Amino acid sequence: MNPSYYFKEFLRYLKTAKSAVFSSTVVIALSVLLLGIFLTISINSVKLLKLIRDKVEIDAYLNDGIQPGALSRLSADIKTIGGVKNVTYISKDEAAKIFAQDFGQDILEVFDYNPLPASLKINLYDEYKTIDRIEKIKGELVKYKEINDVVYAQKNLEILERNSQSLVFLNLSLFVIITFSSIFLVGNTIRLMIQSKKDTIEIMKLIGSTKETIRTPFIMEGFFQGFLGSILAVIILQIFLSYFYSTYTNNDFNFTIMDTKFLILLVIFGTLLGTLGSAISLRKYLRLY
Amino acid sequence: MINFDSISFSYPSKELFNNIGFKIDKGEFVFLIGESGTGKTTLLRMINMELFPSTGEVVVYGYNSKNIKKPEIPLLRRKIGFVFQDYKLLNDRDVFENVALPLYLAGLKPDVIKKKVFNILNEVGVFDSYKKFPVELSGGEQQRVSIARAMVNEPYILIADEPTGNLDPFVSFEIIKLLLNINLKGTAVFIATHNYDIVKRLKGKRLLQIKDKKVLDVVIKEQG
Repeated sequence: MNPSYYFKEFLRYLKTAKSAVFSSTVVIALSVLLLGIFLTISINSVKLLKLIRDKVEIDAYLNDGIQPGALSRLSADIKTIGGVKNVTYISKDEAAKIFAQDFGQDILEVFDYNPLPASLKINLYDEYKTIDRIEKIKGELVKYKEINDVVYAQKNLEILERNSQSLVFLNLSLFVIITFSSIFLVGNTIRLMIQSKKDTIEIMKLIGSTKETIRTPFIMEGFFQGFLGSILAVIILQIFLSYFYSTYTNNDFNFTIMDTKFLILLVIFGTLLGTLGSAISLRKYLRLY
Repeated sequence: MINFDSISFSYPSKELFNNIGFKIDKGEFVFLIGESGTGKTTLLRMINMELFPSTGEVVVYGYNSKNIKKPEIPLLRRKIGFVFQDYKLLNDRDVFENVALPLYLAGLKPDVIKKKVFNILNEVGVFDSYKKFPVELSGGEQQRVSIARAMVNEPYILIADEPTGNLDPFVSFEIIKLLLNINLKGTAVFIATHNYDIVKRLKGKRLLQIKDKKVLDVVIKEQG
């Protein structure tokens, strides 16, 4: 079959079913847009959780009057505990400075003396930032007589652990729901469009068209709608995300805009949606052929 | 050319044929008559391999209903010219494009297609309407276009399912005259109809009559 025949038929279908083509393209664009927004929110929420987790550390408050030699030994010992990444000494004076930074007031103005203890700030490797593992490390730390108290953001970590699991579940569920509703919606819209061409398909079959001859222009149409719809979606998504980027990016959190690779994947998804939607919808009319 | 051998056919709710058999040879002109619902269209659809018999076999140009492969069905249909009561023209294309379609499907070159289409349009008498769309044509003209489309591939047989069903008596007879002319040039013609007036006027032609789930093979008697 001459390729120009397919191209002419494809153009004819576009011309004679303008409103149906428009509807399918819009539905594909909306589906891809929805998926793109969801994935962006999902990736950024996971990133936000990671940021919060990164800030988890242990403060080991020291008794007063520790000699420098003992302090060095203690730091070195703590470094050997499994999961400890590094240990930083915060002296009483440094603690006072941090207080002043955080609360905007000199501690000596509040009290006549500096009640803040010296401490060791203990950073952990990411995989050790769970309540169970931190508790084990805490158990090791309290054995040292130089250490008076060990604290970490236990409640925050509890909330984080609980919510990160829910978030992963929510993200996965939403991903499945959005993907399947997109396929269902697009499939139905394309099916309606092909249904309007039912008579044409029937006549083509009766006069000796092969399956491929009937199918190819419809597949081209599905491809075109999918491609156009997803390109539209990607453009709208970029505009939308640029706004979010400027609004929600600050020193602590860098809002991630999807890169080119991700946008290409979205276009491929939308194009496949249109193409497969056409192919699957046509099967009904070509089944007994 | 066409051979129905020991054919039985049933729909879930109704048995239509019980062990029927007949042949149609090259160049014949055959009417198929029968009351409504006796299975005229079903029988024609078996020739086109749209439907398959429950038992027995239909052989059309060597294609056997028992073992024809799905990809062979379009090839068979290209050898048969089919004319329908409701014309089945594609409303989104003009007369030329409707008639040219089987030739595009056969992969012919545009200049050959043009020549063949204009020749056949001239032959069936709708040459002037080649740029018109089906909705702009009368019923008789649409049926002529449908016949042109069926004949443009130069099939061995033209099958017409109630070709005059939607036409007035005068136009109906014009269409039958056109089919007779086509037959005179060597193409076999097989017409299913319940228009007995037309059948009676064509003496000496072969007649297949569906009655009591059987097909009776008779010749229309000459009067007098």
